Amino acid sequence: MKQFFTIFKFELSGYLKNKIFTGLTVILILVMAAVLFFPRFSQSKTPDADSIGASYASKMLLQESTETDASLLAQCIKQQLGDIEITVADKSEEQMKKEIMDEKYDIAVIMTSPLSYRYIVKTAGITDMTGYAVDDAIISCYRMKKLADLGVPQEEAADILESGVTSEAVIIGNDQSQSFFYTYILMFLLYFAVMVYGQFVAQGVALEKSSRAMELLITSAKPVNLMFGKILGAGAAGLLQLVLLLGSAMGFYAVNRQFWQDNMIISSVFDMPAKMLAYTALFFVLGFLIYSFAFGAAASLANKLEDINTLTMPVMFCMIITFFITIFSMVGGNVDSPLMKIASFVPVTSPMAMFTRITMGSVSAAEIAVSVAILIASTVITGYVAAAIYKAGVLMYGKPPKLNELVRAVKNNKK
Amino acid sequence: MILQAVELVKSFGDKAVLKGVSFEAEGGKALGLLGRNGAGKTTTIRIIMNVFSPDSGEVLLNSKPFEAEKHKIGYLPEERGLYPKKEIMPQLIYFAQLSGMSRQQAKKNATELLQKLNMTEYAGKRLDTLSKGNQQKIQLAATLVTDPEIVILDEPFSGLDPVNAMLLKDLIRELISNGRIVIFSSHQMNYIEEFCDEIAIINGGKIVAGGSIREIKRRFDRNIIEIITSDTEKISDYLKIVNADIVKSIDARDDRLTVTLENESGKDRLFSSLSGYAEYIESFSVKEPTLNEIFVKYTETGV
Repeated sequence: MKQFFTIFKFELSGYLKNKIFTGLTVILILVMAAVLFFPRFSQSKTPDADSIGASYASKMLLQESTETDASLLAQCIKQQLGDIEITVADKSEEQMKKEIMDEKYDIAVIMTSPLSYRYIVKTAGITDMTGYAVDDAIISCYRMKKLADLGVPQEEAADILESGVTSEAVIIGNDQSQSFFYTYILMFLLYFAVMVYGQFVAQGVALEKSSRAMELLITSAKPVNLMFGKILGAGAAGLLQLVLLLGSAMGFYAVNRQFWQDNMIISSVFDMPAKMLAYTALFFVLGFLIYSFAFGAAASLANKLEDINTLTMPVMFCMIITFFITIFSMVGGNVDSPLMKIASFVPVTSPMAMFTRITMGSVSAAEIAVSVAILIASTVITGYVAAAIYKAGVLMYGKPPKLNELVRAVKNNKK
Repeated sequence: MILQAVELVKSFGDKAVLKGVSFEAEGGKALGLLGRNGAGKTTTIRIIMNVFSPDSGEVLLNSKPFEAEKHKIGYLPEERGLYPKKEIMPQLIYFAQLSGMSRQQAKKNATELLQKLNMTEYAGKRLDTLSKGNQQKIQLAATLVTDPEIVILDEPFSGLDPVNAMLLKDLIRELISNGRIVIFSSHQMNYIEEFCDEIAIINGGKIVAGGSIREIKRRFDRNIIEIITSDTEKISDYLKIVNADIVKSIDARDDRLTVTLENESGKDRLFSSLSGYAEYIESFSVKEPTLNEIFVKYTETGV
């Protein structure tokens, strides 16, 4: 056990002393800080929170028309746009164009029929929403007029037109519109963390072998300690990085919470239930372990660093397939499909599939328990098998062995 | 302290690597473990270090089963290996700690050892920034950092310049005089002859020659005589005429005559026949086979 801790500490400190590792962590934290603090600084200059996004014209020229009652229409537009200044005038289209060019007005509207119009602007801005407001004004104006023609008094007509629906959703399971984004982010984190740290393990093992440090290691330490020390060292570094990243993101968000209230995506991500974070940690640990055992065992067969790409390919495929099954189910909105149900119990796919079903689908506590139990048991078994492969693998030089050669070597080594 | 390998047998799959290897290594003496590439030296060493167990046979220390984990073993592998991208001092401490040493003790030993090897200035450097010879010295430091009772050195001199080789020689002599068991494997026979009293030659998974070098040399026919003379032609002609019946061949080179006799017993007659020519003779000696020749003779039949 002492030996295991020596190896564990050596591996972990290797990560913590690694400039790329610490640099990347710091950069990621800074990027998150920049993103999460952005609205605080961008909004201090334009305090009107509503103005983010849409913009509207402030001076409008409306042509007198036989098609509609221009003054009524102007009133409707004012109702829609509030502080817009509307001038009703009988001018030709050419004149109107000129006045727009001279920037006397932002927009000019010419009614061509009660429900169609042409409008003139100098530059059509991406965020300019005046057109939509004019549409709404024209249609309500038209409806009011029609209702008035039918003898409905104007006030009643206004009531009818303004009537709206309010609803309140009682969500018993998960609100996917809320959970989608944080699930998506956590899924990505899980995927990348397992992939990146699994690769680190593979590289570490292959490097020890190719640099022949293994020759010395294997004579002074037990292979089981070597493998588990290395994997848990990498896992601890990964978990630490995840905690730092998520923790600082949460912190940055908490400080800037009031600036993000209107952003449904960001607030849904950070206001996720705390138990989801606990599940993230659980599935990261288990997913990382089962995959890292496989990565470590595969890499122990490598002779040169280049070999690990080929050797870890099957492990990578498992990860990628899992990732796609889960992502497609999420995007398709059906995370409880039969495929996902199966995937959430198969140990290779369950870290992501079950996690997604917990956050976005409906899954019973018993199902979660069974899935986690299967995953833990499989992780232990994988650990044993990986240690046996590792023990035989690290002493095999030359071409990576074929499966039957490997089985023979493992059996031989057991003696 | 005696380390014994007793009838070690080991096969990998259907390939028998060791077919009954036995030898003894005594504290205060160095044993030369010789063999061609692939003869089974590394497998033997790994069995001693309990990297894997033999199919049959055993390793004993002072006649009791040897448990590698309970003893400090220093191993210098032929394929040098440390972490190229890591600093030297932490590596040395790490390897010592893996063998069960405390951190403080490990640091103390490593510091002393680097001093002895004139490597103190490199303690904080990355291994891959060092020259090959210096890397080799660090490898040696990693071997000895635990202050091992048993030291296994596989080709320790490769890559060292004469000055560093001298430094290493002194270190090895010190280990031997401190009563450590030193197992020494090399293809450079001059080093083996210099340090080892005993050798074990492995060939085809078996020990084909073992014991003291002196005795092994004596097992060979002593029928080759080397004569150093001031007149090779005169002596050569004379020997051919007078001793034609006992001389098989004469080879002259510079001032040296190498006389191969039909058998060892002709030696005395050859010597006395030269009494009249003493003024031309500077030395007369039996030429012993070199360790190199012995090695080749025992191993040329193939691995």
